[in-house]
Amino acid sequence: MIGFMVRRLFWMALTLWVVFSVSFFLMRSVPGGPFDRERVLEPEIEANLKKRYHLDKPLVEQYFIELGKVVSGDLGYSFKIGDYTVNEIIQQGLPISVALGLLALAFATILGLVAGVTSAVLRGSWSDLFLRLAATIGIALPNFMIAGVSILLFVFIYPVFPAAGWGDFDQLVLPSLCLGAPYAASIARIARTSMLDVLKQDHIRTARAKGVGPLRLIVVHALRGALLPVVSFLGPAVAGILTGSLVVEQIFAIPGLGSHFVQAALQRDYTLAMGLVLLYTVLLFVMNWIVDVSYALLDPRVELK
Amino acid sequence: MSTFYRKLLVWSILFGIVVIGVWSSLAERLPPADFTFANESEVKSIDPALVTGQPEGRIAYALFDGLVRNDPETLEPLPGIAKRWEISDDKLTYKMFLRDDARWSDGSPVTAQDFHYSWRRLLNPRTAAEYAYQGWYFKNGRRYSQGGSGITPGDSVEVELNLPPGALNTLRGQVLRGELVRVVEREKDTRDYVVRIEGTEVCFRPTDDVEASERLPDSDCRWCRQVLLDFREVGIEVIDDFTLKIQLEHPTPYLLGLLGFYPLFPVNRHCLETHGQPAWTKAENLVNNGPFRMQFRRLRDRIRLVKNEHYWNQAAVQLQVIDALAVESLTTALNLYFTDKVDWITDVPAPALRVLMAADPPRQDLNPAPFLCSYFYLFNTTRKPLTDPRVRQALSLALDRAEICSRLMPAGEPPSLSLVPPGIPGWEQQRAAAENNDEARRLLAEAGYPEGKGFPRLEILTNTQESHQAISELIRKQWQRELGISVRTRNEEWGAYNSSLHQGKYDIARRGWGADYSDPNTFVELFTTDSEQNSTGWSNPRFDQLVVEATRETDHRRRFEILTEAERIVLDELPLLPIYSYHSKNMVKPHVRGFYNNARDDHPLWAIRVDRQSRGPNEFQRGSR
Amino acid sequence: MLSLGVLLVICLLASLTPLLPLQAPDHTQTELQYSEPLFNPLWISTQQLDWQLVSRSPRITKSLRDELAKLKSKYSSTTPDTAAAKELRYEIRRKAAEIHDTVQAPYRKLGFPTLGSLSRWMVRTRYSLFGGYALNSICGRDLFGRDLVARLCWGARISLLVGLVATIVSLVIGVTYGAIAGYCGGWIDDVLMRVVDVLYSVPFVFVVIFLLTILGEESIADELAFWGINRITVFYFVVGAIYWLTMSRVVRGQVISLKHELYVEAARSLGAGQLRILFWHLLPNLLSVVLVYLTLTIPKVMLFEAFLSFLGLGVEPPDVSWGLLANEGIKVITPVKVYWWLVLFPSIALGTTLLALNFLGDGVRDALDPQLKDA
Repeated sequence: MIGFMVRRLFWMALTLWVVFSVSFFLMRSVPGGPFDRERVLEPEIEANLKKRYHLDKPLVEQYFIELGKVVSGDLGYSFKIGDYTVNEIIQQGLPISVALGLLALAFATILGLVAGVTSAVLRGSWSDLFLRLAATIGIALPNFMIAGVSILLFVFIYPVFPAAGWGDFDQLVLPSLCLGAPYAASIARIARTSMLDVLKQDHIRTARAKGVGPLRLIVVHALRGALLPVVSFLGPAVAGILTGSLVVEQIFAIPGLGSHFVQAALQRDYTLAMGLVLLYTVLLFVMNWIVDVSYALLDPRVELK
Repeated sequence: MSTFYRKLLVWSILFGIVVIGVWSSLAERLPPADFTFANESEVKSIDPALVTGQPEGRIAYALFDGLVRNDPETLEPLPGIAKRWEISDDKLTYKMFLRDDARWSDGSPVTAQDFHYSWRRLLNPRTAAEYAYQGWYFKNGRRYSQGGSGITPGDSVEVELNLPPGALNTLRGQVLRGELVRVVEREKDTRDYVVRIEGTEVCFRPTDDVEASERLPDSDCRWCRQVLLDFREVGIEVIDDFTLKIQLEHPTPYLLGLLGFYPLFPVNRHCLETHGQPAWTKAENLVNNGPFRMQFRRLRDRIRLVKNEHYWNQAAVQLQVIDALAVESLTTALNLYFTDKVDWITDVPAPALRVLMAADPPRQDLNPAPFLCSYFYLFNTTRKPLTDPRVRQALSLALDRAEICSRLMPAGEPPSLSLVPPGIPGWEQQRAAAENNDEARRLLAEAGYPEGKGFPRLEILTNTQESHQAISELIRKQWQRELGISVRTRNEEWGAYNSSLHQGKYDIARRGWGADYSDPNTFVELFTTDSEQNSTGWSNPRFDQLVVEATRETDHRRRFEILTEAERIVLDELPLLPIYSYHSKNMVKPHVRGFYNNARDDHPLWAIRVDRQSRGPNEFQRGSR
Repeated sequence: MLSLGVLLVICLLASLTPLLPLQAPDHTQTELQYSEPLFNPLWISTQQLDWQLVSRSPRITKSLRDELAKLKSKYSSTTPDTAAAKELRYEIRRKAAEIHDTVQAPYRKLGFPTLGSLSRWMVRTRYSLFGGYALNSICGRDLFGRDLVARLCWGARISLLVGLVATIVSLVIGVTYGAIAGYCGGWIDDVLMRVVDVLYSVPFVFVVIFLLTILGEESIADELAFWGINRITVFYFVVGAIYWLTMSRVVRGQVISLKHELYVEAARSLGAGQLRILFWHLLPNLLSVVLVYLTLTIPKVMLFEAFLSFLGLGVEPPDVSWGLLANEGIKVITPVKVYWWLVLFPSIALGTTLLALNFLGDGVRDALDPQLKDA
């Protein structure tokens, strides 16, 4: 277990280093560099600024200076939101994105499991068909379209949720539903398949023969077996939710990291964009790690290595 | 791993999910604001000296207060922190008498020294303020702000010495005063300044604080931060705590208007020098003197403003709490407006506006009105083939502005062939040559591109917004149709677009310019050779001379004539492509009072009230269609 | 099977689009903006192709090409980075643009995007077959009065092409990489697979956005354009460079299990070279894996393209893709008025294709390689 964690940490550090180096050299290859200004400066002021940011030094030296800063946790100033450092922006945005992502994940798991189990149990019925159709649509449509249509439906036609913003619980529901929808769909499909497998197995038949009630049968006996494939799907789902939040946060005007990243990239706020890419790498690692650990905990056959 | 632990894990995950759900529903709820508006994009900063742009302006006007305020309806200058003023007969000296009850939000008085400090900061080249040129109207203001380039031997100068590298960046180093003897060019962009201080000649070499602390200069020079014109030469003089004397470079008839423009608003020296830049702009540190204080700022969410109890005119301020939402997307803003989450949106997406304008009976919360703002494209005249005036002319002649306005601009914006928009009293509109496709084709052929063949792949740069993108698409098609040339369109987010524009990294770029003050000069001076805003590379000595002449002229009619002549030159040579002049597109809820349509589409928040009881039409609706 | 049929129809429609009697996809008629779907009349007459212009162009382009060749040879003999070279470079670009303009002019006039020679031939055939007649706008029109049916069909070409080409790029990289790792084994395999592990945990979507914005920087884009590289090309390679990771793992596993098969040993003992064994004997056996992978990756790439279009980093007008159309549709959803046809039809097109591809992928996977199921 300890060895596993150490190895993971090592790989994370390596990955971060690769990402940092690539972004750094890409950033500096842009003419004008990351220090684009909106005003032509006096040559002396310009020269002073360059010295301040070590831009007068050779590229390799700049690289090590920047690397040192990043290692010590200083991601620098944002260039387009002048009043904030990248760290402060992350501090503001991260809790929001995490809350949104976790909620979306919860929605996806709960909805997906319920839908998957229902359609497995009611196999061949109309509701099975309907749920499967909904699931396939959820997988096949880009989530910005799902979001656009659900705004139309739930904000204007049946006004139950607010259109945008962040703060109240009701403002959370729609975005996290939209964010979770494709993964709910995938989970439903996976859960249905594995549930069908489990339902065919002997111990279920035995249980049924012993007179266990249908609800108890499903929840206690069958569900546990069907859960494993779902957990193994959570890894990719987490990565997908991180990505999806880029779009959903834009559409619902949520001030999370996704909005910050998209705006930073589009505004050419390179320091902020790079800081966020590094952060996302860490997030992805941590999430994958959690998924791996919980998988091992759930299934005794899996060993961590 | 035993079953017990496994069960524990499953239950703890489930428990965690429930906790998250409960936590997010219980997360502190904000008490609602009295008045909420959609402030377009996230503001770059709240520092009034550093920002440009309308969203930033709205915040700056709420947080800071200048010598003069503008009437919310007519925009006439009203007494602000200056309770009265005296103007000399030659219009070159303004004596401002400050009220003694104006206070900063920490309770200290706002004095003439605050203005002295803030204006020097605006002009200081180290501040790198984009709007520094708003201080160039003061005598020698421009030379001060040009730093080393603004001084010549014989001038009295000030030398700012270096501070230790860790010092707060808002502190100034020790200042030595003397007379500049000579400037020694060392290599490109590096100069030594020899200054005579109290009889001895000292050589100074500008550098950064870090280098200054690490080593000594290699010749017998001293390090310094910068060498500037002596600020005492600049026409800003503190007579006493509440009297400020301003001397101008030229008689500037719109000076009072400028004093009410946010770049010239004061900032608190004590606050800046305690916290440094940018920490002083944090809500918990900020000391400001405007009608509102900043309670908090959440990035890309909102800035919450609350009434400033120390504001001198707080009796006039009715709103207690205001939310300025940063909403990038117009559609989202409209959604929020229609779900009653915001009371004012500044713009409406075109597809919706088209329908809203056609509503019958006409909507009572929408009242587009012309204001002083022009929409045009800039040509980068340093790039082929836009160097050729015939090409620029041809591109202008081949445009169908009527089609653009009637199809894409539902608020009734009129097509424009001028730089200065209509609506300035006494100003006679000038027009570029009227649209003529045959002439356009002829000119293009003459320039070497018959039927548009071989015309380089020019690119139209716009900032990301649906209406700008639609216009550039349509223009692309019109040029394609009439001239046979194919151009591309590219859009960038506002910040990136601004950088591209200012660095001249574009072929053709969209630009909108709203009047900073109600005078044609604000448009015409954009195109002088050394204007910060002239990124076209276009330069015309006669034009520059006319603009300077206009600033010197005291006779109103004669001044307009000179400016007219200057605009004529621009419209003949066309470094820009006029397209239309703006209409405001505010939507304001009927319960909002004190909101007026005006010539600059400025709506000071201190004048706004919310009154849900009264039923009559508000000021915004009066005089509507 | 249904999904295969649907896919075939869509691909057929997409590849034959220039032949179909549709309106030109970029033909602007602002007076018709936002007109609703119209079925009556079903056929309308539009502009005819300017045949004279078409017949004249080969003659003109020939002489232009000669001039261009001359300029190019002159350019290669000048020293780079001088004013003269810069001037010549400008001239070359201008000449190239002139040739391009001469060839494209008649089509462009009607509102077609830049066409390749095959598409030009198809457009010509279409106009000689159907004349100016075209299908009315049965799916409505957009802001500029462009016909949505035509745009959907032309968009299909780009969307499918993007999916296909990017997938193939990733296929080539992944198969080569995986095969080399698996075949060589030992420390090479170790190193190569560790690299894949590292890359796996890079948040690629973010890197791609970062990359596309940097490559979109004006001067860099300009340089790329000189070499004929536009954003779509960049997209192919960038996306291809992401999706190869899974492929390389799968291929490696297969190669490892295959390389000790008897027939490989036989080939080796007959003296076949390493490369020959790898590419001639081993790779053909991976066909089923590759096929499964192909059908599963194409929809992912298409979704990704739609996602980038939403962020404004996808294809650029006058080209059009489904992602772009869907995004245009989403943008005009306002509480005031919904131009439903602009949302509905692109959604249907995108949704159906992705669904069909997903189903097909699942089907192929189940049929060919049941073990891959949870990969």
